Amino acid sequence: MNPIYLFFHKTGSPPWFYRFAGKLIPWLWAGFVVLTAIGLYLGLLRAPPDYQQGESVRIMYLHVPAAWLSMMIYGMMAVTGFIALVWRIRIMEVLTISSAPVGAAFTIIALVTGSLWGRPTWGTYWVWDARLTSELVLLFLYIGVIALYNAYDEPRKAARAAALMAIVGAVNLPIIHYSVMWWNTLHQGSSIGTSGSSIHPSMLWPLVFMAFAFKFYYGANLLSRARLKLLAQDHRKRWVQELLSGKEK
Amino acid sequence: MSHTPFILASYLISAFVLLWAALAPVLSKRKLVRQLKVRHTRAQRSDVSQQHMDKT
Amino acid sequence: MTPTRKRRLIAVLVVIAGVGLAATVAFRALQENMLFFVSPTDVKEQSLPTGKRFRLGGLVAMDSVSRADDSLAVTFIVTDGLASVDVQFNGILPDLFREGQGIIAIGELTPGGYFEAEEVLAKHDENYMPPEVADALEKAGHPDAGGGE
Repeated sequence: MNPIYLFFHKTGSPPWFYRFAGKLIPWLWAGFVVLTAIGLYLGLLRAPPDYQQGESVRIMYLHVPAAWLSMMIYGMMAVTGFIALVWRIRIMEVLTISSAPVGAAFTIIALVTGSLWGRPTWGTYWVWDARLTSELVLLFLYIGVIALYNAYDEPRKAARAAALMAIVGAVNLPIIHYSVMWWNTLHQGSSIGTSGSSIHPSMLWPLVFMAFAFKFYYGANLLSRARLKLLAQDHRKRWVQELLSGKEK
Repeated sequence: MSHTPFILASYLISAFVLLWAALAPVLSKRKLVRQLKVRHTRAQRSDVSQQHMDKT
Repeated sequence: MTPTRKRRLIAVLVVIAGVGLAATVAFRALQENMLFFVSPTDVKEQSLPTGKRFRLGGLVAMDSVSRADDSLAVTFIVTDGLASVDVQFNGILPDLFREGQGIIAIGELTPGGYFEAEEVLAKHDENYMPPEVADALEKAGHPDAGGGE
């Protein structure tokens, strides 16, 4: 058998995935805690206030990583959803639907922190500009994926419908990203791009740490949600029965 | 305008959302395992009584 | 109706409502905000009608801000380098409002030829730096010094 196929076959086996994810989760949480501690220390205690925004620049250390991740998770959902639809791998279906609540949480954080930053900086909590509106649409897409999944009784059919919606909704990702270039927006352009960063290093480092911390959070939360889904779906199968009668809880 | 309430609110709301999202699967897993264990032991007991009946 | 069907129906309705809401919001954005604001040049060229609300965006011209002594009233000039518009505003300005700053004013043109703003928003740029660095940049005559205090 071809090694890539073998890898999918192995990770695609629910008992193997369940055990592997169970071992990985504590490490991911540890990474999240350490990176967050460093990020918060740098961002709240060491980083200077901004020359224009003053202290409110500290909201950026939550807002920007959350906004990045809200888009990355949707992208991941579209990719795993695509694999789930084409190859019918159940783990991919479970990963797709397990990503949605985490992505929605980060979208909410991005919207709320952005709003709280906008009040002192722009002078308003909310405007209907292209960036803010497309990020709000992203939240509705996440909610739509979750609601569509819950509309079906049969979990595999439900996951496929949700995966299709995830793929279709991915058109919103480039719109969010390029909105600040394509249209006049109140939201400023990207500070970090291929040509470097216009953020001073003393403010960039806490941002980088928080961005990685949030990615670890996503990994840990995604895997624990996926384990729960597998357990619930397979509760009649032998591996779960053995797990329950064994020492592991 | 003082920025402190905005910063504080941002961090508190984010912490709350992250905590809630992290705890939700842990709590529902605990509940599920408890339910499954009850069902499991009940099923085993009925198996045993079935065998007992067969023998007699 | 069986409970399962009822649940399914509610779920489908939630999906429809969600997609509908998303579409409405997107449509709203397309209608109004593809151009979130118009520049002073647009105002001059298109000779926009008076009494119609729109958003005016541009930089606050240097040495153009004058505040009333006895009220919150303030007047300033918004420019994009090519054209400029006189703006009157009576209210609290955002922290970032200063001469040279990008702003967006929401209001309408009056027959008197000036723009009566109901709300003024400050536009932030993509530069983030400590005050000392901004000072140093300004001393060195760097264009990125932005706000210019």
